[in-house]
Amino acid sequence: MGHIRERIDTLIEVLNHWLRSDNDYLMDAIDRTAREGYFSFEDVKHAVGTLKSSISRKALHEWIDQSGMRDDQDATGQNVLCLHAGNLPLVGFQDALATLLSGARYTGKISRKDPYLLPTFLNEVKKTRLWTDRDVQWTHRLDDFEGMPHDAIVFAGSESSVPDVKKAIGQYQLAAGDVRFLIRTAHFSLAYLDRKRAADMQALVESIFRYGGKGCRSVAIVVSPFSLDELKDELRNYIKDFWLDNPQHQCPRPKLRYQYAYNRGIERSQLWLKYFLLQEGGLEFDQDFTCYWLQGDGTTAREIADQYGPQLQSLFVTHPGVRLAGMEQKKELLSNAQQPPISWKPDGVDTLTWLAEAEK
Amino acid sequence: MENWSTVIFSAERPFEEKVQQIFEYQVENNLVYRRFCEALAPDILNSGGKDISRIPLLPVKAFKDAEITAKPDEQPDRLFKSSGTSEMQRSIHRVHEARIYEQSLVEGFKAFYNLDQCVIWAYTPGYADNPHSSLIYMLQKLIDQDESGKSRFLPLANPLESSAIEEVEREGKQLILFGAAFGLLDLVELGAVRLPSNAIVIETGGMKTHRREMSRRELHRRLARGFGLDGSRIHSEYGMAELLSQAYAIGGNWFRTVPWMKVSIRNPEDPSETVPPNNEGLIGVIDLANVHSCPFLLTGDTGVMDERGRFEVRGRWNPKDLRGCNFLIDED
Repeated sequence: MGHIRERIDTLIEVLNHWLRSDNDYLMDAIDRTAREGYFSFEDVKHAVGTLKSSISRKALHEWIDQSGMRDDQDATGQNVLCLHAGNLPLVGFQDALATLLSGARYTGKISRKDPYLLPTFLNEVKKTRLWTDRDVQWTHRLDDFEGMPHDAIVFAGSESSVPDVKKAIGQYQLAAGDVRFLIRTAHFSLAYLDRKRAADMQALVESIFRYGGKGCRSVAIVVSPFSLDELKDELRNYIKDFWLDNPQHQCPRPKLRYQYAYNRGIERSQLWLKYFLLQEGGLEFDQDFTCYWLQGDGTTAREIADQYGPQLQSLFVTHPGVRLAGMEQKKELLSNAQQPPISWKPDGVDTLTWLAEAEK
Repeated sequence: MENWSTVIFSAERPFEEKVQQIFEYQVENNLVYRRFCEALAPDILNSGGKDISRIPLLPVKAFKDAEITAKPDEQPDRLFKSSGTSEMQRSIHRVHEARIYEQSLVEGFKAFYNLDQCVIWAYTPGYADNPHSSLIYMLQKLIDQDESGKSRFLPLANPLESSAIEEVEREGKQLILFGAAFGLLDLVELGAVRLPSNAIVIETGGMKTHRREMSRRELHRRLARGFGLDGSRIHSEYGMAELLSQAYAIGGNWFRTVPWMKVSIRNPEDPSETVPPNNEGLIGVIDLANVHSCPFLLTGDTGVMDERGRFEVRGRWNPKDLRGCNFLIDED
């Protein structure tokens, strides 16, 4: 599959074509995705827009440099299986792109919850001279790949889901003898809001409410020197503005209202928005559409980040000057929460670096 | 002042009528519960709880997060605290009119067992260091009912004595060994002893020694084997610090309640909805003995109910990881 530079050039060509507004395949996939209720049009538009702004020849070269991948140290000859989740539109895109960049053959199990978008990109890749039908394969059913052993398998999971996934991999004989697994387990992110400038508040709202809060980069805990009560009214206005442009796609279950009533009962500070709940304390993580607010300083933020360890994806801060000792690896800018660079590291692991570590 | 004891334990008045009266009392006096109802189902306040299936059930965690009382200006007679380490947030049950609890636990026990004819031995490792344990209090009250003086707490880490067992047998009494589930297993391990064939072992489901994990069925099997009893002699009690009444499973896994307590199984996604028989959900309880704290509770336990109104406890409610990327075989 050529040298790294050749792969970058070809992929940039593919991406430029794929992301063009006159690409009927992608436009049709976006339309069907929204029309059939998988995601809101606004969220799909945001996801596609984020890729558009984060991918460039320069960005891919920088990613390669950051990863340490070289022509003599890549994943050429490897078979990589990506099991894509479908909680957000195009959530598996980075894994697919990393696999292709690495020189490995890509096998993708496309999520039934996001069935149309990623295949339009993969189909474009298959039209190129570098990648053939054999090098890029995808399906919506895992058993379609039965008997195809893979050298590396990438997926996101949790304590409860990993055993089932591994069992299915064994059942369909998808793993080679010395298979390597890259399993991501982070589920949510934390924001440390040390100031309340308009841009910070907007970024905070975007980080919490984009995709209905379903991403692992979505902020589920806010730590701030300001109490929720202090910022409630201001926040409500920013949320209203966000929802005007990005109506929430899914409705929460009635148990969210139960939690709101419970909070009222015990007089817990909260911001009840009917489709989403922000509450002070009471971190339980037992339902969606909830964000927890904790009043505290940087030390509190660090302690909470420590407490949730591998479950925590990123710790977002309002500006680069915020110092949170020991958290540099997880620290990112709040404004990037829902528009990460293409080279971002899920669970702190650079996918390209990991793929290139394969022994040849 | 209302004599709540006569209301709660009255055999003549229908359960629904008692519920309605206590609901009105709660809404008027329990601020936490009133605010909860106002936010969740304001219409129920106007209807006065006529349809008991619509009465909101307060999540039991409220005992950790707030003072749950209909007598906010009075000192409670007793304080019960759930077990746990000092760093843990523990439930606190403020008990007013403790005699209602005493009547509930004694009458409740009598509804299932012949208290006058039995000797109760309690074995409760792990609870002994909680001076606010409702289980210890309950067992002490049951032990106090036995005038023969044979009922008692067993010393910890000592095997059962055959001579003491024989003595109970000689007096023609039935031996009831009552204790936290895994404590009873420890007792078995301390030394195999055959209990009289009419003896009963009641396990409370507690896991206070934290040593093992096993199903209730397996636990019963081991206890039966360990004490040389038929499986039907291993019973279970369902109770917690937040409830002043208990349910019992007399052989097998199905619990029955006392007349002043009713259980329903609720949809975890919408706890105001009762699920049909044989469907798993959250265990909801109306316990009228909780008249001064909160009788309308949603527990954190899962269970099912059969067509006869008996229920089975399946475990703790533990929702799957909800946020973030998570590849699920069945869904993705």
